[in-house]
Amino acid sequence: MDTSVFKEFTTNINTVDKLNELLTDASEAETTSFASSAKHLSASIKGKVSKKFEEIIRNLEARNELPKSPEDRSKFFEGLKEYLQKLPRISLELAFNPTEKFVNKISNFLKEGSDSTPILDIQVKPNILAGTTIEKDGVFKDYSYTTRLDQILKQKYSQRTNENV
Amino acid sequence: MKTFEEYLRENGEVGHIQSIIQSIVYISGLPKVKPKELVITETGIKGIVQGIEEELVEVLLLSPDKASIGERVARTNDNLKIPVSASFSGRIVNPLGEPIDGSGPIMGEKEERSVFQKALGIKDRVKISDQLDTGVSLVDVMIPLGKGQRELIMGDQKTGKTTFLLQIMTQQAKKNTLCIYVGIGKRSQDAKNVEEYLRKMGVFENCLIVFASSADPASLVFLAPYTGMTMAEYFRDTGRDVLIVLDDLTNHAKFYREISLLSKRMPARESYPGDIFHVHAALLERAGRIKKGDTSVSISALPVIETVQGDLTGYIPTNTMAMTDGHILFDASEYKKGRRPAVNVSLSVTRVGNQTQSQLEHKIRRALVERLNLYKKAQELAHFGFDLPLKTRTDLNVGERLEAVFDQESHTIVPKPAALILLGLVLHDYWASKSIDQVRVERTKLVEAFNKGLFKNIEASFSKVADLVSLDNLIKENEDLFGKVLYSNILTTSKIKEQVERGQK
Repeated sequence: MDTSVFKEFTTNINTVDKLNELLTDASEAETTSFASSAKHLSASIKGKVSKKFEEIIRNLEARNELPKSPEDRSKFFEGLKEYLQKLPRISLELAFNPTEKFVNKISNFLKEGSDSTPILDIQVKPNILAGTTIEKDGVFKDYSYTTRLDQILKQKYSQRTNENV
Repeated sequence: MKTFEEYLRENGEVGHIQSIIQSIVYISGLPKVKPKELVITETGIKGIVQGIEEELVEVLLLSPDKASIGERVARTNDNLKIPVSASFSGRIVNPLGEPIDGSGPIMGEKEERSVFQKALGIKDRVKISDQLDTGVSLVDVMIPLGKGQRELIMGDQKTGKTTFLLQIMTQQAKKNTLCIYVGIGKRSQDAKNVEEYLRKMGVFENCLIVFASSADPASLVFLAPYTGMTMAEYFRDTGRDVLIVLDDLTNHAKFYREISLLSKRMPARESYPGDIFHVHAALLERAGRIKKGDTSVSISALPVIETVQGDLTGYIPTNTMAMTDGHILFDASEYKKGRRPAVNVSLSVTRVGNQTQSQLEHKIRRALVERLNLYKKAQELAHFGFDLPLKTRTDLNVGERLEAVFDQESHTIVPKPAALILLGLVLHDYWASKSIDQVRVERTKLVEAFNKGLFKNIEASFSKVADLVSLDNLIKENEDLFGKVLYSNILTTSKIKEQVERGQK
């Protein structure tokens, strides 16, 4: 299946929350494909999905890129969900609740040099004090302040112990 | 052991559990994980990497705690290690080295050893030359075992295999050999029975039980013999001889089959995994006799295989026969006849035990093989019911007395010198005119006297005895001592013996 059409759905999708909303919309649209006999899917899903999703479906219908039969539409949305699940994800732990602007800034930074926007899974953990931990494709990097503080304290303690000895 | 967070920071890799099938989990992530590496979950559950696929890692979880989907997993960059120390002697532990006998933690400094060790090579090994005294006269004389030998114990269930093994453990523990009993997928009551037997015999302090019950996860049962062997290697490296009993490898194979089928590995013969031979062979290769400075130390292994209706041609029995230095077959028909131990001597084999025997023992064994064969033929003739010639009656007489001497109760240990003397008495017809019950009574008295040390002089003279004639002379020289123990004059018996000889002429 040609996945280039799916990229339209993922513009401005940069967090797990937004991704989950999009997945919910795709599931709703898939269900409606079978339930509705209306020619235009966009009319059937109006009010049931987000406005942006509805607009994308309308644009696809206008360009004749959305399949017409319910079975084909179902396959289309299955393919969309599969594509969305496979988007690269990066988990971040932050000590504060980031604003939309901050998230977009990080997203744009990570997008540089990559052909797709990674999906950020942000968790708020105040106990890291500052900094962040990053996890991507099984690799874990700890840039949190807590760890750094631990290292400094351990160093000081071992120095003091050696001096006493 | 470090925590999950510490390992996560140290190794910089994380995985997430994607699916769980009983003890097996599939994890995404962990890009540089290695086979057989130990991993740890957020909740502290340990697991061993079994397989690595393109996107998922297959891990066998060890702890009975339940993992959950999405739980994070970190690498430890190490293999599974268990604690070992001399303080483990006299304790019962699980395959992770944790005490389960209710006697508190195992104190003292411990060493960590990897469970999956490679066996030592040829250059470290030494020829097996010392006999492993089993305390069971039938085995010591007819199927001798050597220190460092791997001898398979085979037979149907309820044929006395475990009792026999406990007798060997008792005899060896009395000689300061460290004895390890590994219970693999057994009932908890079985472990208790083993502990009670060894405590009753006063040797539990020189023993160690590694136990995984049938209720434990398959991963722990699979691990049990490896833990036992690792502990055996530790004690061997401290300079002690070790005896390890693996009871039983049939169960081990079944649990490994369960794990492999759950991992969706292609089943081979009888649905066992294709590498079942390697798994057992690599384990048993870790036993043996090795150089240690100017001397040598050994791990003698007694793996147990349970057969079904005496079928020796099964997959696992034939596999283990091929990888061991002989086998002792426990026969259900011998058991039903009342023989204890119910060993079928003609179908049992020892490949290296013969080189450990002295000249006298060789000669006695040859004489016994001849007499037992004659006894078998005489028994077949006796079935016809007609009058038997004198020679056949004599063969029956000797055979019955040999059986009476070889029969041994579960709590009786017969030292080897005692066994040789008893057999010498039979072969020289000292018991020819006595009833079987009298023979049994006198046998018991003589064994007790040996165990009390009353025959120390005879034991000391054994080195000068090289054949059956000199054995006979040794018995006659000590007739007073025999008289004291048996309350009868052995020379009187020898007069009867002369009468029998005249009658034969």
